[in-house]
Amino acid sequence: MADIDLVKTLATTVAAGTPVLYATLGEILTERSGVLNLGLEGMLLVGGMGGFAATTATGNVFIGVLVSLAAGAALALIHAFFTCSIGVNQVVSGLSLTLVGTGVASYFGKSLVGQAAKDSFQSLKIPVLSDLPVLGPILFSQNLFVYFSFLLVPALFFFIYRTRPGLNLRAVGESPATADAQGISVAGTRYLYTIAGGALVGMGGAAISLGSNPNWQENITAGRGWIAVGLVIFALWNPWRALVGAYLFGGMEAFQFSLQVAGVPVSSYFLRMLPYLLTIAALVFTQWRLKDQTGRASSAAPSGLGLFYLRRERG
Amino acid sequence: MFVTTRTPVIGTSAVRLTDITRRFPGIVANDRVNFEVKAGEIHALLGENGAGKSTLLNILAGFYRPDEGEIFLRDEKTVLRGPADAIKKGVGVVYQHFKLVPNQTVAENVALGMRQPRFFLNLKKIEQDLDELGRNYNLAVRAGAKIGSLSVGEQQRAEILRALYLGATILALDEPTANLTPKETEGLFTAVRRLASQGFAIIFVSHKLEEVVSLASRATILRGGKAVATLELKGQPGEKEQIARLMIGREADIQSELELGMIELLPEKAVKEAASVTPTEPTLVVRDLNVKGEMLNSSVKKVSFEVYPGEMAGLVGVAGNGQRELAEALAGLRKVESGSVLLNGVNLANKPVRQVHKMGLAFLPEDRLGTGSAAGLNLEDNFLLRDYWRPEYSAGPFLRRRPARQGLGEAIGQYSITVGDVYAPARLLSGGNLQKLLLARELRSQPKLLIVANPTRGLDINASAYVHNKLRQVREQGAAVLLILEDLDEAFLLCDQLLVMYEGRLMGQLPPSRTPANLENIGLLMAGSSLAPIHRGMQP
Repeated sequence: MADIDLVKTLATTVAAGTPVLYATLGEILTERSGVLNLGLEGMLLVGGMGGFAATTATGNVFIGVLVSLAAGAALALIHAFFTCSIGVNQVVSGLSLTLVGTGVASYFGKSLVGQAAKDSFQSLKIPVLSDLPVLGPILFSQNLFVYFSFLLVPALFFFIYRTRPGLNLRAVGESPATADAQGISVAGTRYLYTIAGGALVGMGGAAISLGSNPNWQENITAGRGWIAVGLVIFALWNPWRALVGAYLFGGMEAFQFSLQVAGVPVSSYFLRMLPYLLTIAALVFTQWRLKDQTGRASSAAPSGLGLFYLRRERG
Repeated sequence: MFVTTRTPVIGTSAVRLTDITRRFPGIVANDRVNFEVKAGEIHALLGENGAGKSTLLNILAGFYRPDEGEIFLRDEKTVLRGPADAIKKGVGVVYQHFKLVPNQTVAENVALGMRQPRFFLNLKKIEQDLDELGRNYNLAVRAGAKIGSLSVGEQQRAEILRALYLGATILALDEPTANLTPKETEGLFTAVRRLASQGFAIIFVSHKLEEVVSLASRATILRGGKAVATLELKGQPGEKEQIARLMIGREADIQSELELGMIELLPEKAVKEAASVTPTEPTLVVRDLNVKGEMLNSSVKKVSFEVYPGEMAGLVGVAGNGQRELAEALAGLRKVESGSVLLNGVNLANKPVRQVHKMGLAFLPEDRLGTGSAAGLNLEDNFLLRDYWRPEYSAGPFLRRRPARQGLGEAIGQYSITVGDVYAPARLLSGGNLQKLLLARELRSQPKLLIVANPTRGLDINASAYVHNKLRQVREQGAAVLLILEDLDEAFLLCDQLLVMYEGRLMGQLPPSRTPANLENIGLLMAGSSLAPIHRGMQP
């Protein structure tokens, strides 16, 4: 095989995996509350476009990131309203959100296509740590999106499993009737985490257009939103496993890129399929493994996922 | 700990509901209901299905606001703004279908109802407190265990402990003995009596007169949404009869007395038992059956038994011990891992459902609206679901509607099904009428073996009596009947023999007699202990 710089490939792995990681974490938060949001791809695109446009207009990347968060949250709010207030089927609402998001992003992003970002998060070497051999260049010579995700994963894990709001979140997703009887607002909780999850997905969009790939193209996300939907299942709704999944995808992307650069005589179209194929394989493997372990329900999907909750009239 | 913040004075008013009215589209569920419970009192709330008990509980739990009327808690006029508000004001409701998150621990489920501390959880402290509280009130639960790994009795104790821990002084128990073994029921009653003696106000919702009379000091009876009477219970003869009369609104005839558990045997059944000594070939022979269950405890393990023609066998046990899986496997709805199911000598294991039907097996599942019928289809289509492929109803790929309509018309007449419109969706039928329709459909082909899961769950007394009589009739005509029953009283009422299941195993086979020794044995088997060797001789 052609010579590949392993450290460089791994550094690219982390960079390429980060946007997917944000999207996966956002969807984990949303699904934990029992809401399935298949609009990820749309939110990712709108977040990326919004952040890019705001940065172009103001020249300030931090304003861009804020706009990304807001854009993702705004789309998610629509989903929350449809699914938690009106009771629209979550799959249908999510799919239309993807279509709407894709349309909005291409319409408003038209004039931006081909431009480079005026400002973006550049690689930032962390003093001392970045001098470590191997780990330094892989983990500590990255952009701010990556560093923030390092903090976000353990923080979300702690939040979900060790805090009262996290307990309420899990209860609403697992057994909305129980949560309701204990005085927790099911719709309120679901709104909150659908919106918060959407904001994180929007940030994932910014991690592409203002981070790993600082320019704007039509369909810049290339299906990463769908990958994240799959990775949530691979992750068994656990932030740490989401990290593994996202880097697995990122690793395949970095690897195929290295192969292309090294001039391997395989069609680049095929190489670019690899990360997606690997994700599907990982998903199938997870599902297959789960089947053998009956009784370990804690690791599987929240029981209330995808179901509209309405307090039963007459009973 | 939260528990002792309020010390109720025994005899003072804990709850007073005055002129509570709650309407739902097309029905007045509670109609000017007056109801009072004192601190230290066990007050039974009685009524048939649909009499308005659940609505009243839901009002007390803060789920529904009454349309009219007032709520007084500890003599203070109160508006309950929601479940959180009711919990804060000291009301705890334990529903028949527990409201617990199955894959979280007991402590986590308790923490769910707390508002303090706001952010960080201290589950260790909650676990310790629950252990102590459990010891004090005879309600021991493993506080660190996940709900899904607990028995039904433990889950119920977890619910009660949660209510107490959150500061409830008013505790409502909705059909609390429905799923308990006799021993667990006894333990629950001991705990409830102790709570009452300390000033807790207990509301005991039930339809079992025997339990009510032995436990409660007062009873309020609901009928058709109205509170028809409140009685002092002093353990005098005739009390049960009086309650029964109030519940059904007329003098209880022998049929309703049977359904209410006031008398034990129909005369003709006693006669039949003495006479049935003609051994024939069994209709159903199950041998070494293994079936994978929803949970480990509900996997059927090496079960063998037989049912004879003209015999009604009852599969009893606490729900979730493999009864449902066993029935589904027999009916061809669940894969048989190993073993055989012989119906008149032919092995049905893993045969397609239609072939199972053709062999003469009929199955009425517990979930009448989900599994038993297609809720959105009309009665005619539901009536056809089993037999549509028979030449009687189909010509090639086409349905023959006229015979179908005729057949349904006959069934409606024969089974006295009350319907407005046969083209209305099945979900609009009352539970009793739907069960009659399903019976009509399943019995049309005169099955040799009829399997029914909880045949009268959710039905009122008249419908229950009808269904019970129909089942007896099927037995008299020589078919074998296998019932899956969670209600022991119903099992005693109907069955010729009881098969007790625990964790997927058949623990033993006992006669349905109410002698104390037999009752104790049934309780032992339901809880997983085996009997003294002498009883084993009864097993085939």
